[in-house]
Amino acid sequence: MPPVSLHFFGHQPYPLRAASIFDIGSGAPVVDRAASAARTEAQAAGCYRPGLELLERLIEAHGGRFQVAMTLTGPWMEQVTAHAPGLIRQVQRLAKTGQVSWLATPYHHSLSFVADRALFAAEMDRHEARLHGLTGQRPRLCVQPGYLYTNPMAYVLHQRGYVGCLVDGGPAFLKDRSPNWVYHGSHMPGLHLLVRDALHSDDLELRFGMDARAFSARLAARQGEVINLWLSLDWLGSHAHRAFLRDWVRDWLLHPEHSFVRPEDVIAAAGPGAPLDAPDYVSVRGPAHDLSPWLGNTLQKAFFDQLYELAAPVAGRKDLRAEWHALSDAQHLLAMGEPEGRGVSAYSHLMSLFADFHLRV
Amino acid sequence: MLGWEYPPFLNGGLGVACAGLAAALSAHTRLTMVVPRTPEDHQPEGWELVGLEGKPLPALWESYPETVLEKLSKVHLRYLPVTLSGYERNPREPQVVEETQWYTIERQVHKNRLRRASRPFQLGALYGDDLWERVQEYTELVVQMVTPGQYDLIHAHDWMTFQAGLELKARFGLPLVLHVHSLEYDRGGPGSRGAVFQLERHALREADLILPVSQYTAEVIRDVYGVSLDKVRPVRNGIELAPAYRRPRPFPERLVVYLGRLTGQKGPAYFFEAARALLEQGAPVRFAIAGKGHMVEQLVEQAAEARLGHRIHFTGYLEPEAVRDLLAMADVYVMPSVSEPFGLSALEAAQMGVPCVLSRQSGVAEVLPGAEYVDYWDVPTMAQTIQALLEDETRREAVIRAQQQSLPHLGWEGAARQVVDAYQTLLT
Repeated sequence: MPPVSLHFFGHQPYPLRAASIFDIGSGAPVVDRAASAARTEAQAAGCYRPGLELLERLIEAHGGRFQVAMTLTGPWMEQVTAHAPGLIRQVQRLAKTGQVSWLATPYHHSLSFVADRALFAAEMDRHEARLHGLTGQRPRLCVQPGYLYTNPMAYVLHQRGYVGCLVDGGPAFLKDRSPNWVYHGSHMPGLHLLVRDALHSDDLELRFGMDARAFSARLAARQGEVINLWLSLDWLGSHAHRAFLRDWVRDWLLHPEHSFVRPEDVIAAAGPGAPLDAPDYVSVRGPAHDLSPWLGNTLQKAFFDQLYELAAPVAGRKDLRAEWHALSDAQHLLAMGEPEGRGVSAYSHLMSLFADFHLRV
Repeated sequence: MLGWEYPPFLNGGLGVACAGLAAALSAHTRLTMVVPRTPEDHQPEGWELVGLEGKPLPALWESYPETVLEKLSKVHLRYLPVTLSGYERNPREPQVVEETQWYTIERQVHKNRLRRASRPFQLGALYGDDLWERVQEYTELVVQMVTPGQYDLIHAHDWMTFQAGLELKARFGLPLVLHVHSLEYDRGGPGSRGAVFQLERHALREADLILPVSQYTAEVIRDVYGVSLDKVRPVRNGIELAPAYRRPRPFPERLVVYLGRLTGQKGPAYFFEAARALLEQGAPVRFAIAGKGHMVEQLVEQAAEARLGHRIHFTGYLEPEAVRDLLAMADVYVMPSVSEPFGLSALEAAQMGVPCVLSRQSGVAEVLPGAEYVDYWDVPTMAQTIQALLEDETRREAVIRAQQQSLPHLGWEGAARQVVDAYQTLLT
């Protein structure tokens, strides 16, 4: 039976300040510092702190048998450093156990890969450097916002020295293949692809309410090399979720052949595997599992284009760069894709901010 | 007086006009105004305001004899989701009829009877999907309230209250004055012919006197609704003179403002085209589109498509204070309406010292001769006129001055006196 690979994705976008036509020209920062502090403190108290504590306790309790992977974006690390510094020590203690694998991701949680490869490389470098400063470790795998992936990415990531990438493409991408095997990029055997086990991850994320033992039984029945259970770090914000995780990890490890592993160990142990072809972007989101939740409509594309037009002018401006990056968070693109007027409101708000920012550039 | 909108429950100029007129009229006559909904703890001075919210509805269906119900049960009604109204809907999203619902009239009658017996009147949205039902209930409640000899005359504002007016005229022989702020012709486009149009035409023909808000609307009443101008007396809206002020723009570009619902009637698409033309020439201008409506998505998308979202700003609905703040920053106000019975917000802009570019197809043209006028469909001229007002300081000053010369004559007092004169012709 396959080992389980748990992955938690930690991100918290910088909250943007309210803006309307009356604020254009105000020159105020785009980030709402007070909201950032308040949200980070609330999330730290209700989610990050108890969540990371639980992971620490599980590692202690189960020796080397409980391992986990984690991605922390730049905005997450920055906001936590500023407003909940105690958490940084928690992260460092986790890192010291050697049981946690830290993954690389674009520092600003942006879609820079789609827009501009040089910016993408800079973001990956910056993330690696900060992660190294925090954990003392170099990431060996990487993950994009929304588990985005496409063929050309395989080459770029391989060149950067990663051994694998976390992907999810839905049924159309996998066809009749199982997510429980290790794959690699099309014509890129050096870049392994781990695929999110959507069925069982969603059991936890969307259809929560299962008995720990029943869940173990379901997983034990799987065939393959790995069961990739990937969750948002925010998932640990629920007391019920944490209680479940604690019980289920204990239950799963009752069986001597069951284990938890890190993604790099999965790849090291895997067979030759088969290639997965992604001529277009695949992702975890939307009915089509593609890029459309971020860049599917005119509003999103317009904002994205206009924002990246400012990338060059902003590059030399130390005072503006951080704010430009805060606007580039992929989360803002998702908001413009929402139905029933919410997308339009999000666009109007972002464009007011953007217009104000544009004047400063 | 029968009204539908009353501040702060507003959709357009109707409620503002009713409140302004009622206050001015109360100096000349005893006045009761009935509206569906009034603000809590608000009673105007010198006249009576009655809100119907919470009043128990009469159970009209109770009296149906069983034999009638039995006959009705053989009739089948089929409901289809069809948009036939000039009020806000979203025609861009056609609904696919997947499942046809069949009702028997008996069930429908039964449903009504239960509802009537169990709940008080509640307006909900001013112009919701259940508008017809609310109009029926409004009519019933108004008719129930009136006793013979209590009033000398009924003055009804727009079609929502026309039925109640007709009923009172029929029951008590009261003279009926219809005040026309807007017609289905304006809201739904010149081709509109639906239930509202029918009701308007019937009421306009039956009325003793018609008070449209402009000569423009008087002519629509004659030409489209086929009513002789003999009983039509235009009474133009007034404006409450409030102190004008300016507010510095925080941005260096000039500001051009559109203010109104985002519906076909108001012509925001023509404003957008003019904005695009100017921005594509590189004009240092920002455009604000303030208001809500079903066209918002289409317009925002066009702005995005043209990569002009950083210069054309959609503010959504603005509270009256915010509207004044916006006008206080504005360099030009544009009203590109396809058909505008009056256009109160143009007066507000003029009062705030903003030069106006207004649609010729509007009533406000009759009271604000100093503004610039264009045909709503003539986008190049609209753009040129906006540009001229931005760049030509002399022309700009001249327009502002000419507009302001008209304003002192536009108080509600003058309108009230015209209305009283009109009443006299019916009461003597």
